[in-house]
Amino acid sequence: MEKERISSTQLVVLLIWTTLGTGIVTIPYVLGLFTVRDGWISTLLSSAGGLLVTAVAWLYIRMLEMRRLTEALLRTFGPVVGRALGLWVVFWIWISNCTVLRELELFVGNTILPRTPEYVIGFLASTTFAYAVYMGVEVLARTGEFILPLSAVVGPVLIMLSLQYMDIHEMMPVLADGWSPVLRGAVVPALAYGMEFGIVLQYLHAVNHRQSVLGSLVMSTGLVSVVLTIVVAITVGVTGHSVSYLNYPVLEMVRTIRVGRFLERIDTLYVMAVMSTIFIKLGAFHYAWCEGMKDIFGLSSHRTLAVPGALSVWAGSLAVFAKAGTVEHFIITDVPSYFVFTVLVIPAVTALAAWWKQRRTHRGAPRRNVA
Amino acid sequence: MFHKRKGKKMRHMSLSLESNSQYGSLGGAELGPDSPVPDTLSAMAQSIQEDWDRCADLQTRIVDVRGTKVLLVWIRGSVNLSRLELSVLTPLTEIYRERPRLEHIQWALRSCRLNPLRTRREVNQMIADGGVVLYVDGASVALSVDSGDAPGRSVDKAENEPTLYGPQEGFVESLDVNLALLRKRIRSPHLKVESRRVGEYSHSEVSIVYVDNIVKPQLVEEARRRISGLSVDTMSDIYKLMELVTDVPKTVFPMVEETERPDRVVGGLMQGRIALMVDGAPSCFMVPVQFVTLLASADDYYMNFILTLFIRLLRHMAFWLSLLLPSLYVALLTYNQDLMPTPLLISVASQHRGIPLPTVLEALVMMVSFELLREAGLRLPRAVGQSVSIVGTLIIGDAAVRAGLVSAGMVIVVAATGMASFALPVYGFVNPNRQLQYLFVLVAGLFGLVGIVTLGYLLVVHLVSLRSFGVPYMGPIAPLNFHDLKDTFVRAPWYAMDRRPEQMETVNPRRGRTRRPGPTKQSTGENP
Amino acid sequence: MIAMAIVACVVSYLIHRPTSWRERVLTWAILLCVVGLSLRTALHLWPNLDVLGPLDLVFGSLTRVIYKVL
Repeated sequence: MEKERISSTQLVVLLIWTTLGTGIVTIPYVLGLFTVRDGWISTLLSSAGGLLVTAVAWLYIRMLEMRRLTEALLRTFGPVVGRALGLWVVFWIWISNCTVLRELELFVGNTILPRTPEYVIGFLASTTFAYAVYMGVEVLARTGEFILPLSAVVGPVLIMLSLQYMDIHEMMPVLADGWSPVLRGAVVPALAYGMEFGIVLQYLHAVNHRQSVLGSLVMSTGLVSVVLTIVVAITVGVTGHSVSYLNYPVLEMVRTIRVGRFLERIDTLYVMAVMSTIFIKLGAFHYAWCEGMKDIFGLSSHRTLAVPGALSVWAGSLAVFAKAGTVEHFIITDVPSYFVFTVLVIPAVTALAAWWKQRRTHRGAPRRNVA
Repeated sequence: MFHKRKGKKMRHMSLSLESNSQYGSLGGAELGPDSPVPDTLSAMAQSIQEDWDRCADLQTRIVDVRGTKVLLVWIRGSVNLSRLELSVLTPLTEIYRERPRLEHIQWALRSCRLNPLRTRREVNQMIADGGVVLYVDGASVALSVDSGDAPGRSVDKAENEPTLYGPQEGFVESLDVNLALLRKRIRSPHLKVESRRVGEYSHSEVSIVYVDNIVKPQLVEEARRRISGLSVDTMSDIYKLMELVTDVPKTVFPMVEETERPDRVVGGLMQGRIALMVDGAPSCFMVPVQFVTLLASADDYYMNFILTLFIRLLRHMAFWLSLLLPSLYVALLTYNQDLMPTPLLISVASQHRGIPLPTVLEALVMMVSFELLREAGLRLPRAVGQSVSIVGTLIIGDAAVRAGLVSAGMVIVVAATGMASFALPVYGFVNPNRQLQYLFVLVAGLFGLVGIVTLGYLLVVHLVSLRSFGVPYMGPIAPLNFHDLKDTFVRAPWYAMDRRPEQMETVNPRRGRTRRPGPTKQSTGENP
Repeated sequence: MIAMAIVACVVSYLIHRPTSWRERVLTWAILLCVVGLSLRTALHLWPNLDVLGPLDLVFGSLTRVIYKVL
């Protein structure tokens, strides 16, 4: 079989959906806990997270070429320590995916299917990403690409329509409460959602051009923070201070849109659109998990665990986050440092260890006779 | 195994390369199919009688030409008898030499196209192909005389792909005629036709047609490889070939572009694709195919490019509507009423008052009856078919609504879906959509819009995973290729379509260098 | 949910049969996990099992430090 490859455009699209999928649902809510007026500054600052990931990816690629993170861990640290660290990484991916799926279940359950059991919604979602991952990374990337034009049309239309209800005064005065709430608000977008770009390290083997990885990271970081900033600014402008009481502020913003007597209550369509992007996010994480498991356990293909793994995410999402409040608590209090440790510290340490190992072998090797 | 087609001669030569299996039983125990032609007339006649035992339509004649016996063999019905008389029998009577030999007879028949047949296999194949075999007593070879006149119809209008503009010719059941229709449009030696016989019994000729300085060579190689691997008893139509050479057998979507229009094939060849043709099939198919190509009609290329945009968008919409409309209606009525504007919701809800069935069942019943009507109209003779559709429309459209069995809204939705499916230019899309509809309606009844989005996502994943001869099916949308978007939702003007589709990876990507048309400076009298 | 989990596990096993013993063991382990986790959710078995506990202990305090610093 020909080796599957994805282009830099596809990588950018995949990374955008990876972050934006649930980011657009949860980030405005989290921001509302810290700051309302200056939320847009927090999202702008959140690009720091993506840039940190880019820096680590630069170091990593320099030292370890285009190897997957789990593969590199095994090569650098040997079968025991490498496997343990690899398990840590795949567990991180698994728990992240459980969080995402739980967010989706709650979001869809609370908004449009209040009487359908959450496990049914979760199950529907798991069939989608199980199938996409089973078909391979190319298919996953192309699905993202297919959905992009749809959202590229619908998104701006929603934004334009909601602009008429926006009151710019809701964002004034700027920085009235100082930098502290702004920075605190930026923690989750930057260190939780920004760190999700780190998933790229599990995709390196499939990327077409080595040079494009860092560019793709920077580009998707930029695009995501711009989109988030616009969305947050409009949401705050439309819904005002009630952002801090709302579970899904963007949904409320969309709900206000009304054109004549025929276009109203389009929030259901917004939920549908968000749902399909979350499917891609789930797929992106799940593929990374399958590749990781393949490396750690020496499996023949990523397909082996694609379906069982998806089922484990489904069951895990409901078992780990039994109560709805657990998800938010986990995202706000645990995720930032957990993700920083896994996405920044582990790859950076791996890269440094590889560098040190290289240096040692070079020193130990007999010197070539130049003369 | 493949040979470039150069008239009948080359075709006969390929016969020696065929497998032995067919003639194993025909050739008799002592003589194999590849054994040389017997050297006496009686032995030859006997060998033919043995091979063609119990074939009542086989005709043999022994003619005495001034002391030399000549055997003529053909199949009744596939030979033009008056031509045979004029070009073979009359010249034979005009030979004045006593006991003429093979070369004298060849000289007398010099106005006919004669080919030597050296083995029994060649002789039998010639007879089966509808030629006349001539054997001169004592000669070591037999001769084939081309006076075949296999029954067939003449070139006619393309019935299944009608267009308003452009040429109207369609393929017929003869490969030779079909190839001539292509040669008429591409008058260049670069148009290559590679043929191979497929089918142990049918020995049908399958041809790969391509333009050698455009197409990607690996594509032709792949087609050769896939056809070489075929082992079937008969190959009488392209549909069997389609299924046997496709990349993904387990999909409902058409993985090849079937057409009966030579102009469409020419367009495909110029894009760097290849056409596969089967003798006896009144249509051919082209590979690789992409989803967007299947939503293009030949008319799009003859019409004004600006007007094409609207029609193409309409067709893309028709594809998704024919798939989703009933399910969206069910979802809106069952789960997501809030999406409907209030006045419409009130009107629809009042229509549904008193309907005994739940919306999902109502939709399914209507869809099944529509399908029944369509199937009945298709199978019956045309005159009866029309009356069936009138009765069906009256009964289902009007009486069912009046009786309160179904709502008027549902009738409108199902009828609109049917219309949308008929707006698709390729029939291969109609059936998959009509059948996937049922699945969508079921999930819409179970989960509303969430179900539709989930199933739609799975469908998209399936579509983007398909490849036709290695080319992504959903290209140039996913994977995205900006250049190739010129001929998808829009049809760029011809002067802008100066390059062939990139995803076909042609060896000669440039179509031409025509400048944008308009008055030149000289003609408007402006000074340079 | 338990019935759904069991049926899904069987179907998933049929979709892609593992080829080696290692894959077989791993697949079965994960499928058993799925059934176990769904038992926990549906029947509230092992209510004291807190998967996030250790993570909360280590990283929760670290994140609180970040918030405090900011």
